[in-house]
Amino acid sequence: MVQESIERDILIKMYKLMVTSRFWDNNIDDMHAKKQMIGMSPHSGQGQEAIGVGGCLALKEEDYMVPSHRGCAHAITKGLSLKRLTAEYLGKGTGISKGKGGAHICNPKHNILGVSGIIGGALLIATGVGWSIKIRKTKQVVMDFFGDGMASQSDFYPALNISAAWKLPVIWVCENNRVQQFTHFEDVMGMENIADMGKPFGMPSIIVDGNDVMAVFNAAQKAVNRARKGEGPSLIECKTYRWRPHYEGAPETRTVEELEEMKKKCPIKRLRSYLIENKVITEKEANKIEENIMVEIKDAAKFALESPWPKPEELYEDVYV
Amino acid sequence: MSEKTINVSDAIHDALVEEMRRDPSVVIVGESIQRATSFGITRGLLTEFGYNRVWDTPIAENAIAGLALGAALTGLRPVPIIMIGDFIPYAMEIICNEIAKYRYMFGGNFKVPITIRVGAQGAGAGLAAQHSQCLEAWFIHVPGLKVVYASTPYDAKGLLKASIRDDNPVLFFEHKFLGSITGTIPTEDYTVPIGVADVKREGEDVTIVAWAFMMHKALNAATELEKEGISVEVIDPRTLYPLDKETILQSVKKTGRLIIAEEAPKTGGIGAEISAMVNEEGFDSLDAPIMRVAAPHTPIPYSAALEKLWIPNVKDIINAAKKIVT
Ligand SMILES: Cc1ncc(C[n+]2csc(CCOP(=O)(O)OP(=O)(O)O)c2C)c(N)n1
Ligand SMILES: [Mg+2]
Repeated sequence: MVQESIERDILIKMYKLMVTSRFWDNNIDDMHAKKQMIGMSPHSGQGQEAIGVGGCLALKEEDYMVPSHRGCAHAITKGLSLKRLTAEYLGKGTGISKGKGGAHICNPKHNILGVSGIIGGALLIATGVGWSIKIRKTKQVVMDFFGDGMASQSDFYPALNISAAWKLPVIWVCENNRVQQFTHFEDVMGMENIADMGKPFGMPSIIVDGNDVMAVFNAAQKAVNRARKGEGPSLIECKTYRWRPHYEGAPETRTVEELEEMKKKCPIKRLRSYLIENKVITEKEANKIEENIMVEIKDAAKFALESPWPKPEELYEDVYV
Repeated sequence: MSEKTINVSDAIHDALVEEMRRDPSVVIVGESIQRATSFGITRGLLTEFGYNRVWDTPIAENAIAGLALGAALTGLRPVPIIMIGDFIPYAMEIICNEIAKYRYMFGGNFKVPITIRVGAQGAGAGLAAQHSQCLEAWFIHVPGLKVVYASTPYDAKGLLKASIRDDNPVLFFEHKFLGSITGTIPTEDYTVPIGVADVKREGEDVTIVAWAFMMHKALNAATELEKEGISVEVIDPRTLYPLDKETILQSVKKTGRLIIAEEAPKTGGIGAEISAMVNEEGFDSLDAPIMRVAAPHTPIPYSAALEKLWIPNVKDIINAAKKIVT
């Protein structure tokens, strides 16, 4: 495996974050099934963890990030605490949005702009953030994660065009899992690669294996450096696969065989083997990491369950400043 | 005439199937309706009518509306589907500036036979601010559009058929919690005319105008209020534009009191429009100021603890009725 060398502690961080994302995902599905979580069925990010983790690890604390609606990898990598994340999913007053948003998470402290429930607008919000960075001359960048489905919304063209025309510091990261709710990519998309869409605008547009966290990280770093130097946006298309149905309980339109085949390409197993083979960590250390993460997730769940509900008067708060 | 029991969701499904059988120019187009569907309404359509009449689109609501307009201008009778009501803002340009204007702006040269099915409106499922709104009020403000919102299986089936057969653009709204509500319908073909309200319950003391899921809450409130000696008349307008003013005015003439209940913020709502209409055309019938039961002026919160406080409920209607009769 040819990889540009990535420091040991980043590799370990990658592993921890991906495992956290996977375990948290499983745990919230569980809590939803047990009706400990009441509300929108989780949109699982299982199988796609490498993208949020690899992408966000290339960012600095002060950089902005717009997550996709799938999973928590982006948000936890950018710094959202498991406690406030879980509490928000449970609709508790201690959640990051005081229970107002649920899966629509954010965290201004770490410059995590919100997850919208509407597929499309985030592309233009990210463009606006890039514009603002340029106006304020702050040397920050913004990374926007979006699905292949969002790339068909009418916002995509002005987002690419404006970010390119004005050389905005935006990193477009497409999580192409070839599925858009119950519609398959080939049913409705007139192109094979989303990355091709960046080319007419002159932005570096590359395809990476979205299940290879190191490849995602390396591509993201290049794009971030370019954006920070004022050279404009890049488009990174990460080819990946959604393991779970669109949301928990939704119909599954792909075959069991296909799902099983794709699960063999697990991004977490892949990194684990790499780390052990290359003696970055031992098997025992990997197991220990997993145990510790499980404890953290259970702690977060406990915190969320024991947290108070928002108070009735909070219904009327935060409509306006 | 024979009858059968059916729920709203199946009634809508059957209306679609029957209209597609009746008229080969009816085509449906929307997101994720071929391989599986979120709310079951389009199930089986692909098998019966094939890919040429049942189309999955990319996630692009403005495209869904635009495809429908292009098709409607050239001999088809499309039924575009907006999966969840909250996604319709994406299609506002085509719906409000193109579809609504086409006939008038081009001097009657075109017909625009489109029925936009706007699915799964309504709060109460813990889906937060962007998957829970009832947006029908936005559209009564746009000349050129008809706005239909049925509350029972009978009305849903009859009105969807009438909408599809109508040569004008119609928005046909649906609510998350109406799908499983059952009722009886004729087994034969029938339509319910657009623009005609229905008295769902007769009463003497107060008129409650409510539609969609709120209509059922109004009926429940009426049952409770009867126990306390308050006789309630419940009117379902069924069509919000053009509004059947006559049925409402007649009822208010009888009861002298009017409450309008809706699942949306009060300001700028349909209740405001109905209230103003009765004020203008039926003021002499009123024995008390008109009241509105509606949601607060906030987005819809996610938390189950807050969402239930947001939704106007049976109790709110009962309280309003008690207040208006004293
Ligand atoms: C404007 C809008 N239309 C439709 C939806 C319903 N919806 C939610 S997620 C989704 C699929 C998104 O596909 P993609 O962007 O590929 O992301 P993925 O779910 O595959 O991660 C759809 C259609 C929505 N939320 N917003
Ligand atoms: Mg996708």
